[in-house]
Parts: sequence; C-alpha cells; structure tokens
Amino acid sequence: MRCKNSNIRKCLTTKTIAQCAALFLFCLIPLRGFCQTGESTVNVLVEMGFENVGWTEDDNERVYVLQNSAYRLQGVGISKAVDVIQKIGLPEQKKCRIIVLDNNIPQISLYYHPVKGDTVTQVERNDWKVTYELGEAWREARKIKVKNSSLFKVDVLVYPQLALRNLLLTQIYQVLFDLSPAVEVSLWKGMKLTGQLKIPVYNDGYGSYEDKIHPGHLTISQRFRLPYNVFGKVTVGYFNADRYGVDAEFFRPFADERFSVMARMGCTAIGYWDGFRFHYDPKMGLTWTIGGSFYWPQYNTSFNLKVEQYLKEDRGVKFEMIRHFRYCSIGFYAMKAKWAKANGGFRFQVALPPYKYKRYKKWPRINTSANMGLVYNAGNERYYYKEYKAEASDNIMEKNSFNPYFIKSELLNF
Amino acid sequence: MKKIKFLNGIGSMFAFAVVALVGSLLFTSCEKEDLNATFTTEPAKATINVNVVEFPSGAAVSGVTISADKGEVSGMAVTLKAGADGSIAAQDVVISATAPAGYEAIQSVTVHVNAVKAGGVATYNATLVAVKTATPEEPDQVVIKGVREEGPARVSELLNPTHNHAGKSWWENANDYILITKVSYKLYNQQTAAKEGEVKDVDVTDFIESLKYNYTKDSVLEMKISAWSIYRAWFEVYPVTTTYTISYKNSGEILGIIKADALNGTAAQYEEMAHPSHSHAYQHGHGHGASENAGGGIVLPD
Repeated sequence: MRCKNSNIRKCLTTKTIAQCAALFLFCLIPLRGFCQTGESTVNVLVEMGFENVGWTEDDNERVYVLQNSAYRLQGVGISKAVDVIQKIGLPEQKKCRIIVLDNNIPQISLYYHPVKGDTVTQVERNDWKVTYELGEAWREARKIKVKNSSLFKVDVLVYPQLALRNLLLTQIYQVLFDLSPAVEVSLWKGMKLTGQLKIPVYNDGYGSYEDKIHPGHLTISQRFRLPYNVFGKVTVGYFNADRYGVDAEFFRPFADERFSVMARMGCTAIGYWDGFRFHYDPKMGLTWTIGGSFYWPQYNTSFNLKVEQYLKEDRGVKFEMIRHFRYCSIGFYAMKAKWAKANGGFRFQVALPPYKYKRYKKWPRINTSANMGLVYNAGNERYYYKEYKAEASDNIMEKNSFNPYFIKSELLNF
Repeated sequence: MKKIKFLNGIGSMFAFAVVALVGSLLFTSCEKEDLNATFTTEPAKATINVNVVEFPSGAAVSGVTISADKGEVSGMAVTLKAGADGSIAAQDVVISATAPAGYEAIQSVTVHVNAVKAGGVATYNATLVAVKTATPEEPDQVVIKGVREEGPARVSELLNPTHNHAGKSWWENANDYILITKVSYKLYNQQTAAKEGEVKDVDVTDFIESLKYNYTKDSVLEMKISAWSIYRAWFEVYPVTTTYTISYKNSGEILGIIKADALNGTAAQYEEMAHPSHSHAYQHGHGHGASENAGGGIVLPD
C-alpha cells in the first residue's frame, strides 16, 4: 500500500516510538529483576520460618538481616539462609552481607565480596567471611522494616533437668529429675521474659521442697550490643541455686576474633521456694568473674581462664576447656579457691530434638529446650565454688552458638 | 476503623502467658528470714506471775513485795534462769510475800516448774491470799490456808507431721537453709472456784468471785531450725487444784472449804535432730550442711 507523505511520516513516527518503547522496557527488565530478588528472597526466608527478616541495598552492598528461629542449631539455620541467598538473592557484582540477629540484637555478619575478574560464577559457602564485625551496614540495616517479627511470640520450652549425687555410703546415687516448662517471650528488642515452673518427676533424697511444684527461673533480661563489639546482658529476677537478684555480663572479642574477654557481676541473695511460698533473706552478696578466652578454630575448642568470686565470697581461679560439636559441647574444668580444696570435673550440653520447627501463625510454640546438660563436680564440694545461672537458657553451647569460627565450620561441614 | 497496630502483635495466647505468669506470682507469698547465719538456740524462759487477794473481801492487795527462793523477782513476776545448756530443769519455787501493814503473815505458795528445753517458753500463775490482822472485836480470827496440787500435764503437738521417727511425730526442714518459723498456741491462764458445801460464819462470795478469772490468750512460739533436720513442737498445760480451808485461828474449827481449779501454767517447746536421710548434712545451728559424705560426685543440671 502506498502511503502519502503525511501518512508515511505518521507511520515512521509511530514505529519509531514503538521500537524505542520496547527497547526502554527491555532495558528495565533486569532492574525489575534485581528488586524482586531481594524481596523475594526475604519472602522465601520468611516462608522457611526465619524471623526479623529484611533487606536493604545501596551502591556498595546489599544487606540482609535475619534471625534463625526455625532450626535448633544456628549453624544449620544460617547455612540454609546462605544457600537461599546464594541461589536467588545475591546482587550482581556487588558485595553482600547477612547480619544475623538473636532476639533482635545483631550477633555476627556473613560477608561476601565478589572478586573482579573472577571467572567462577558459582558462589559457595566458603566464599563467605563470618565475623563479629557489622561494617557500616548496621547503621542502615537497623532501620529496615522487618518481616515476621519475633516480638510477642510465645515459646513454651520444656527443660529436662537431672541431678545426681553420691553422698551416702549405702546408696550409689540419689536422683532428682524435673521437667521444667518455661514460657519465654520477647516484648521489645533484646528483651526476654522467662517464667519457669519446676515439676518433679522423680525425687529420691533431695528433700520435701523438691517434691513440690515450685517456680524455677523467673527473669527479665535485656541483651544489647555496644560500640566496639561489646555484647552485654542484664538479668533481673529469680535465678537457680536458690538465688535472686540482678546479674550483668559482658563479652568482647578482639580484632583477632579468636581472643576475647568477658566480665560478669551479680548482686544476689538467698531465696528458696516451699511450694509457692518464697522464703528470702534480704542480705545481698556480690559475685564476679573476669576472664579471657582463646578459641582454636581447627578443633572448635575454647580455652577459658577466669578469676572469680563465688557465692560464699570465696575467690578462686577456674580453667575450662570446651570442645564444640554440632549437636553437643563437652568440656572439662578445674578450679582452686583460696580456702578450699582444688576441684574439677566435666560438663556437657546436648542439643535436643526436634532440630527443625516452624511456628503456626502466632500460636505459642511448644518445644523442648534448646539444650540439656550436666556439670559433674568430681570433688563433691558442697560449700565452696557455688555459682548460679541467671537465665534458664544460659549454657556453654548457647554461648558459642554465634562464634564466627564455629559458624564458618558449620557452613563448610554441614 | 483504623486497627491499632500495637495490639495486633499481642495474640490472645501471649496475653494468657503474661497473665499466667503474673497470676502465679500473685498466688505466692513471701517470708523474709535470715537464712544463712549461724545461730544458737535461745535459752529457755520460765515466768511465774503472782497476784495477792484479800480474804474474805476478794479485793486485790497492792503494795506487796514478793520474793522467791529461786530466780529473779521483778515487780510481781519471778523469772527463772536457764542453765549452761539453755534449758531449765524441773524445780519447785517457793514464792513468799511480805505482808503490808494491817495484814497477817501471808502464806507462801510452792509452784512446781516443769523442765523446759532450750528455745521453749513457760508461763505460770500463782495466787497468794492475805488476811487482815484481827481486831479486838473479833473473838477468834477467821483464817484461810491453801494447799496447791498439780495434776498431770496435758500435752498437744503440732498438727500434720510429715515424719515419724523414734516413736514421735516430726516435721522436716530438708534443705540447706535455716528455717525460721512461728507456731501459734493457747497460753492458758484461767481458774474457776466454788465452795464445797456450806461455809459457816463468813461470807466468801466475793472471795470466790475474785478467784475466778480467764486471761487465756493466743501466743506464738518462735523457732529457728537447723538445715537438714527434723523438728517437733509441743505444748503442755498444767492443771492445778488449790484447796482453801477456812477455819478459826485459835480454836481450829473448820468453817468451810473452797476449791479452785486452774489451767494457769503453759509451756511451749520444740526440739530438732539430724534428718535421718541426710544426717551427713546436718550441723546444729547452721544454715548449710557439713562436708562429710560418701564422695562419689555431684551432678547438677546445667
């Protein structure tokens, strides 16, 4: 069909515009794909059960924040998240950082820095660097509006507690076995409210008070992270070992993250339960700990040396060696206080199944506690070296769960 | 209507959890105590309260100075001291009174004090009778003589014991700490009186009324119990019958008899011993156990 001049001009204009529009839209497609990758990664992580999930991005790097609440073992959970991000969430030719939270407090970050000119297109777990450092990312990342918040979500955790002692010549062991459910909930960032009941299942020789259902840990704790990588926690309430009061602990890794220092101070008094009647003595006593630690990455073993004051105001030195495996931590300790005989023993923690769990909507999640453990006092010391545990969830395995070397080891071996 | 975002985060189950936690605390009670000190049991205390009444008017006589052959006198009370072991041995205490002007010599009374263990408390009451000096108008003065007779103690124990041992009932303090507790009991101080048959030549109505009283009240025994022990508390009430014989002083003719029955002596006591299942841990007067044991290790939940 022949077009007159004006019509030809119109056709040309229309065709040109259409081509330009197609080209423009074609160029936009990759940009739309990047934005969707970050958001869709977050959605996938939320679907898997991760909480406090969000992302942000600038010209320099993309940052994800997440909290593992679906896998018993932090190493396993973080590995799963890394796999997802590697698969669908990595920015092209840009750094990527994953900040791992615990109760909304940043613990560690996993950092991937693509090398220019690197022909390997497949990113592997080995390419991630795990560190306590958050870089500059946290300044922006803390403002992210996260999905699947962990606040106000109730966990009911059942702590199995076993105590044994050989004190009688005519009986090998006296035994106390409790099942102690605890309601745990976080009401604001870093805070945890714990209310525990001790329910005796078997009591042979531990006295009539242990025959009665009575409160266990009743605590409010606040975790925080200060500048210069100082991690802290303050706990108030009723602890174990018949103590109540306030406890504060701090931890700081050095630039060489194998080395760290820790400090702890407690102001507590005696209190015990007769059923639901609380007998307490208002006289407060001071306990404290100052110590250093070295972590041997090759064997996932930590060596701790502490100077401490215990509950009877005896002061001493304690050495610990603890090896951390995926499902358990086991260690030995030795201590010597000024007026006491030297003592020592071993301790271990085991991660309890199930190892994967999801929350159904906002319903309280009923589960076993993260770990169960024992500490063996070989010297039968019943007066000196007395300590308490501030929170029900405190243990040697939980303390190591965000160790960067341990997480890296899990990334490579899981 | 705009949804309140804050409340969106609070599920009903969370609210239930918080209420359950707070509610459990509301159902608790607290007792402040000194749980970890070393203590020595308080020495036993025994007190005899004395009153003097006039015959036959029954009026209380004031300005009387009393004395006792044992213990310390303070006002109208006699306090017995505990021995070196903190207990008070069974003993008879003779209580006398110096008659005020216008009165005949007052007959002394012998009060039998039962043994009291360290930490125990006993209270007794005794009545002395004063007679006015005879006037020239009275050919033969009417006098009164009392004979006090103590009956067997009535014993009651703490209710709902948890243990039986050595033929007795006990409660237990099976933990590392001193138990500081109180038990209530009735401190008996009451008497009834009546004449036996007829009383001649003298009106004893007012005197009999003066012998009747009831000051029984509730009291509390404070106890400090060592760690890893069993303990028992018991209460003893001592019945006393006083027979008053009224007669003429010179001729000795008996005019009548008045009998007064009293529950006016009470003792509250307690004792402890090593817990039979934890004797290795028991140390009297301490809030923690001793260290001797079989030595095979102690395992604690971590």
